Amino acid sequence: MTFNATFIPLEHLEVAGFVEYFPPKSASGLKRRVFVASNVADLLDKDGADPVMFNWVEANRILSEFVLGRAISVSFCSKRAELEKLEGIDEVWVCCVRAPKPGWRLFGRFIAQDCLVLMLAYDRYDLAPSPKYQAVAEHAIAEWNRVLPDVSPYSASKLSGYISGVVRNADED
Amino acid sequence: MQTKTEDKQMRDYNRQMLRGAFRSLFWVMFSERKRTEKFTLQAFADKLGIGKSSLSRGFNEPQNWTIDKMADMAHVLGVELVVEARNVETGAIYTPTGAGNYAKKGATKTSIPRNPIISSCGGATTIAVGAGKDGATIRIISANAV
Repeated sequence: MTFNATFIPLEHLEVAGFVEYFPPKSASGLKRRVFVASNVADLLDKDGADPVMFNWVEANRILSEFVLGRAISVSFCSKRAELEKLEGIDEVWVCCVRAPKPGWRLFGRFIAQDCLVLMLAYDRYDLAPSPKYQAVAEHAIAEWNRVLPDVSPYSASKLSGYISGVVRNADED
Repeated sequence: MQTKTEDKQMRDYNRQMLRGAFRSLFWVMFSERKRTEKFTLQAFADKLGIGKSSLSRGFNEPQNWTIDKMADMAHVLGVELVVEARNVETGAIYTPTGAGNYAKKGATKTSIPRNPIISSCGGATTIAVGAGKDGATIRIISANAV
């Protein structure tokens, strides 16, 4: 099944101010989708990002590979990966931009299979210690409920339910 | 017109995307072997003579694999890497032994993918990767089972 066959409440995303992410060099041949809040879009935009504070290249590389349908590493249990599903927090995912250390974290949720919605962006430095990281993750849920009150986050029982096609499960070696 | 910083950013982005393309290509091939022959990451690493954690790290985040390393990986996986280049403007195909097929006249720029694409057909995996400072070339690397 491709994303074209998956129901995505686009009108809700549009009304809530989300914009679709496209790789810097192409908008064709895409197999997955990412929608971003305006604050995240500003970071990912070449004119908006501060290259000293935010790794524009690495963030765009990860999201480009995701939407192009390439392998991306994913973890469900805090293993080092590009995309992590947080344990014990209801359907919150984090896109990990790790370089330069400590990097940045983009928080979001899946709205459908192969369709990720990113709402919050934080400098990893500002997320330490751990309780603060958890608080921000829970803030992501509150933010979702605020901007998409009528939409449930997408849930699946296994990785292939969230992301189809080529994917690297970092929890399995 | 791009500033120097923007040009550097795009070059860095292209490099990272190329690394990612190879990561994805080899992951596709390894996954196929794993599915069909229960080939494990440990066995793959052993045959390469490297540690499993090193190989795992390379699949978790794209690394700057050397050509020698990718040749070794292809050898272990039983595939041959085939290198081609395509001129984005004309569609002309270049191979290590000379110019090959040319696209028909009238081919438009938009008919040629500008971003890396991975496709599989008849046991061959093809990866098309945009490259070059001016975006004028596309490298196509195919991995054919041998």
